Amino acid sequence: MMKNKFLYKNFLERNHIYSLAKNWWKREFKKQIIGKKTSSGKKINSAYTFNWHNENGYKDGNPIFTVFSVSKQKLVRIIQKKVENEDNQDFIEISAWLQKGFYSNKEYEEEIPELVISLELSRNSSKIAFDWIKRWFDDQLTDEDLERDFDERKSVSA
Amino acid sequence: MAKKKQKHEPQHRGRIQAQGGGLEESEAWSQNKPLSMREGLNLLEVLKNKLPKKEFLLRESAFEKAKNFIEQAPDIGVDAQVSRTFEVKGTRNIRVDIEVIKGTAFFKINLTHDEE
Repeated sequence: MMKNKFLYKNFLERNHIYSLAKNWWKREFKKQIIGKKTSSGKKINSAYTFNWHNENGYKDGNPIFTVFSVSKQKLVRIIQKKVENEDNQDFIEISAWLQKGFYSNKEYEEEIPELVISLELSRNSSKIAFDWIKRWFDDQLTDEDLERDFDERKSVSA
Repeated sequence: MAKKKQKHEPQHRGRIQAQGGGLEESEAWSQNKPLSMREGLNLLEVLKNKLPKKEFLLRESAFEKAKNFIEQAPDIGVDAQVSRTFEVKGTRNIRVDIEVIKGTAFFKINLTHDEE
């Protein structure tokens, strides 16, 4: 695996880098997910991105990106964390879980299955994140998969 | 099937949850006036007290972050939709979540005229 290059690592220190990081997530989501075929042959054709109100007041990456897929009726939320140790480029800081999130608009409000990914953004962590997102929309991702992945990476780094 | 909003549903709703590692406890609010900072902190305390000591100690740092979030909210509170996760470092999913699903929460100064 190539060196784990961090992306937008100063996103909490400068507003314009925060905006670049936010836009990166939107752009990559469109590029890697929208219109792409999943392993079951189905396409994610429609997705509705929305910004949480708190993004205006709290530019701390919690969350940095949230998307609701209309066709799949599923949510994805990304929490981007501060890079703690940039010298350790071998360890990939990422974890995820499945839960019931909440989506509401003017007419409806409902509990929706949600994939939450918490990571330090790097070339390698983003690859893992988008692999999970694809599998999530393809109904091929369980909480047990995410737990196993976390335990495996933890044992390798120990 | 999506739940259609009813005309007379409470205008301010949300929940605080302690989750992960097999635990799922929560305290919710659903009312016709915004939730004050004081009420939010009280709910957090109620949630803490519901947990077995071991589960609370595991999440102590996450509860502290959640408390700071409520205390440091703007004077007029935060408006829905807000979803914040306070994780315990080094774990996969041990956390405290705050969700403001509808309306306003954690205000210090109430600028609305919602009914009591």
